[in-house]
Amino acid sequence: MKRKKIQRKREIGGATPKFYEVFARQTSDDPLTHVGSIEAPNDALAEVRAWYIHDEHEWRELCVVPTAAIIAVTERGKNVKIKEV
Amino acid sequence: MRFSLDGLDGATRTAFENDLFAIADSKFVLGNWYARCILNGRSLPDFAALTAMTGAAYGHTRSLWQYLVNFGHNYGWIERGRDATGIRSMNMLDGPPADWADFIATTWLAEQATWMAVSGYLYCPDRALAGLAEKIGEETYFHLKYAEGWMEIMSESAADTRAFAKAMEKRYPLALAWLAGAKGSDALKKAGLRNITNTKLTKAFAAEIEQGAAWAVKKSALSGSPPKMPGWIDAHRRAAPLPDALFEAIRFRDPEAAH
Amino acid sequence: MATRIKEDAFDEAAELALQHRVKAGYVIEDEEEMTPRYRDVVTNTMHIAADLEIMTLPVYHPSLLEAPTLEDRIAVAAAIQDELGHAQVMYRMLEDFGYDTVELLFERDPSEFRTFYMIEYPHHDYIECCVAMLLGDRAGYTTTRDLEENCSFGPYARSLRKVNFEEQWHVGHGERWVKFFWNHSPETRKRVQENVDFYFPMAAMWFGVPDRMKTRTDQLSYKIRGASNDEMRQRWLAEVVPYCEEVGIDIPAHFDKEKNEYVLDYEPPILLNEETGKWDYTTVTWEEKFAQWRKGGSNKIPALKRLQGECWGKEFWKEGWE
Repeated sequence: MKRKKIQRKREIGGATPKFYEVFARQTSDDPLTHVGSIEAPNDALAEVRAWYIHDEHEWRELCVVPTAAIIAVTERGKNVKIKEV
Repeated sequence: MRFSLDGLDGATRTAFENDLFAIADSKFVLGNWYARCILNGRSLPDFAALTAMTGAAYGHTRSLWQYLVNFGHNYGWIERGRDATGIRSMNMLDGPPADWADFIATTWLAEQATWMAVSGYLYCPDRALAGLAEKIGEETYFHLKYAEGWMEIMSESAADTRAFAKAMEKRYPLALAWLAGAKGSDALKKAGLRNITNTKLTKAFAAEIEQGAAWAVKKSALSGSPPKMPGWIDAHRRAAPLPDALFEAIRFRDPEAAH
Repeated sequence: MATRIKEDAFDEAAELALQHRVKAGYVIEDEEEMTPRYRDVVTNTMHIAADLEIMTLPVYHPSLLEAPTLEDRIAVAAAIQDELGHAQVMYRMLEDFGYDTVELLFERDPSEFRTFYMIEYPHHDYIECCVAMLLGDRAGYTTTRDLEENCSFGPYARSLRKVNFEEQWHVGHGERWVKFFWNHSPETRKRVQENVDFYFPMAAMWFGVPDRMKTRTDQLSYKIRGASNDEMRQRWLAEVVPYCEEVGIDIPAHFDKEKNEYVLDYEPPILLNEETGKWDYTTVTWEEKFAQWRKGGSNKIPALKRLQGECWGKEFWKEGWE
């Protein structure tokens, strides 16, 4: 057995992880809501991870957005990231 | 009119049963691949994804094995009564993964191959099987995405790309042998059970693989025709019994607790 | 580096003020609202929770491979997937506080993981897994229910809604299957009893030392939690004792009518004889108990080393059943 050597840039998206925000809704008249935040180095893995980690409901719609794409209009607290609902 | 196996002639019924066993048993071994690879996961989300894929593969296996009871088998026998000569998984999954690239390449090929085989039943007159095919399709989407995500990561390293190409060259011919080796399955299209001939299905698989692996492997490097395998059993779509180490790893133990 | 700045009266006042506010029901949503000590206490709590969750993976894994039917393997996979989801939530929150998950999981020395004795032994088979769910998941669930209800750090409390929903299922699963195996055959009944004998004292000590011994009360002061160690232990016993009595499982605890509470039949602390795998019910000193906890269960280091390593080729098929 050998030790894992995680290659940060390729596997997590950089020295620090690349994040995606997860939005979902259960039925057609629910609003699309922020349900969480996941890490992934690319869109394909972001899709898969959001699906498996947020399996608490059968979603009618689930989507992921790179956190970097989010433009903060009001800023609260140290972190500009969206907080979990 | 409700679908019934009784309406099928002997040869078609046998081809149908053989096809389903080949898919189900391959899914079972694939589930074991995922189960044993969980601890090799390279991130926390990876651990979660591999565990989820284990559960999904085993779930598909169970549904298909339950369907096979319709052919007159006892479920307990299907699940726990067969030995290494009776398990009909694809030869491609016999040898353990040599490294992470081999794991991704092989599971990707196995997902693509089993999905190609299952997708032929999406419009099957047996709505139960058609529904199962649809569900397998929905879940396979994510298993394939997982492999694609990892391929993107590996494409950024020359060493990983080489390892993936090496694995593809070793494994791909065996996947082709499994698909192409479905003897008598054109009877399934004739009987209206499946909407595609085996030749078309195999060609579609080859096209999908060539495109998906193009980042690492030249089309010419992937073998055009399936290899001839000594000890090939038509009905089982595999050569030789399961290797001992594999059978020992996948079989159900603890009969005292079985129920 | 400069010597630590002594806390002055102003800082101490700020800490007390925060304690009053959270006790009055104030919920903290942001790190900016935290005093240094509050931040220490809550991140320490979350850190332990995160490490406990990830530890469940290598511990449950052998039972995934050994489960006797396909249905059982699927159930174990589902349980592990839930725990990994919980781990995900915890480590993600720690990242907001500046922690690095890659470092925590894959680069940190295994001995630095903050786990509990009960989660440092592998589940060799499905019966052991179900007993662990019955006793251990229930212990964790007792803690997380208290946290969801009381924790003054909003994001943490809310994250436990999903956790508690899933833990309730694990406990129920454990109850259903322990009862099943108790009644399935004399052999499986014996195995259930052996596993309960092994895990019961560990699960009882999940909640830590008796209240009279606790010197630091920060978690309660900052309302990170609501109940004390003994109170949570009581809640756990109030569920475990009636269940075991109803099924017929022998456990070293009962309801004391005079004291009007559940009591252990032995005086903690007691030590596990690591060679025989049996508990010695002679009361020892807390120093001896702490030493056993510090040494850790036999599986702790190997399990974490496996998580940090990779296994391919022939070895890939060999794990778990050899």
